[in-house]
Amino acid sequence: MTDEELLAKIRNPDTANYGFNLLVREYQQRVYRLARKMVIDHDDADDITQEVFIKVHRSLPTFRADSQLFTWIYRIATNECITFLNKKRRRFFLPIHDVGKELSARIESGRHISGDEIQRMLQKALTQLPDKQRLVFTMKYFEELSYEQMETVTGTSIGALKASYHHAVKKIEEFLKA
Amino acid sequence: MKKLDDIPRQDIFRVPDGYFENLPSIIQSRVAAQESRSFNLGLALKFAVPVLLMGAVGLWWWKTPERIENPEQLIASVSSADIAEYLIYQEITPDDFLESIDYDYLQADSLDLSASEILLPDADYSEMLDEFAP
Repeated sequence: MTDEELLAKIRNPDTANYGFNLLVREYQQRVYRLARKMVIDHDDADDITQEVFIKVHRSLPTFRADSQLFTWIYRIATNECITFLNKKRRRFFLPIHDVGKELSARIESGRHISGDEIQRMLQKALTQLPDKQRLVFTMKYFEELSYEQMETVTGTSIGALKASYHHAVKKIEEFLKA
Repeated sequence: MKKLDDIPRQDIFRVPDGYFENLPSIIQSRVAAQESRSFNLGLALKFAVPVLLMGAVGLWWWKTPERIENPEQLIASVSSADIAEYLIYQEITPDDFLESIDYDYLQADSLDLSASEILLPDADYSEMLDEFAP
């Protein structure tokens, strides 16, 4: 189903609930995957995912369709992830790397985490990156977004995104080497 | 040195069974609950504000003491029957009442009483004249 068809269903009062249900089913996994990679813990990722779609529902009447539905929803998701991490940081008054340590510890001990050692090492390396850099890396490496899509989602230039991604790769490789 | 390209891309994060099947209905329930709350709030405000205003006006009116501009205004609000009953209760006779009035002869002149207005039968006139005859 195209964005236009989906939006038409949502804007029709007779099919609004059905249309929104379809939207959630279409994008829930991508939103969840992003949130999960950013916050590690399933329950936190679940909270973020639900908040994202509640905000999507609230903002749908003002969605202007000058961007794709996916990039618009993804933008809300990235903002929610960053907001969540900032709140966590403020709550515990921890500098960036300490929150990273907490996330890294969750990879070791957390539920619903599988994968071999190197995969866990990679995820731990990611938790050491600044939040926005980790976001860029996740979108590019795991979610395989194009730089153009990432530019729309983050509002950051393609050049800055490329620089951020390459720096992230270098840091990860140094971490894995150690 | 491990290069990133050497590491196969794999998602190590798992989800509880049935998570994505149930998530849409959970979100729909929360959305419906929020809409219901915002509807109730809007409805409450729509009726609460006028009621509160009326209550405030009523309270102000009730609390504001009645101001009497002058005693005549107060007397005018009392019926003649109530005044008469009061006078009787206070044992004030018509003579006492008349004595308390401070006549102004000018006011007396304004009384327009003529014989034609005294409507007595002729027989009563005769009786009166006989009574006061020298």
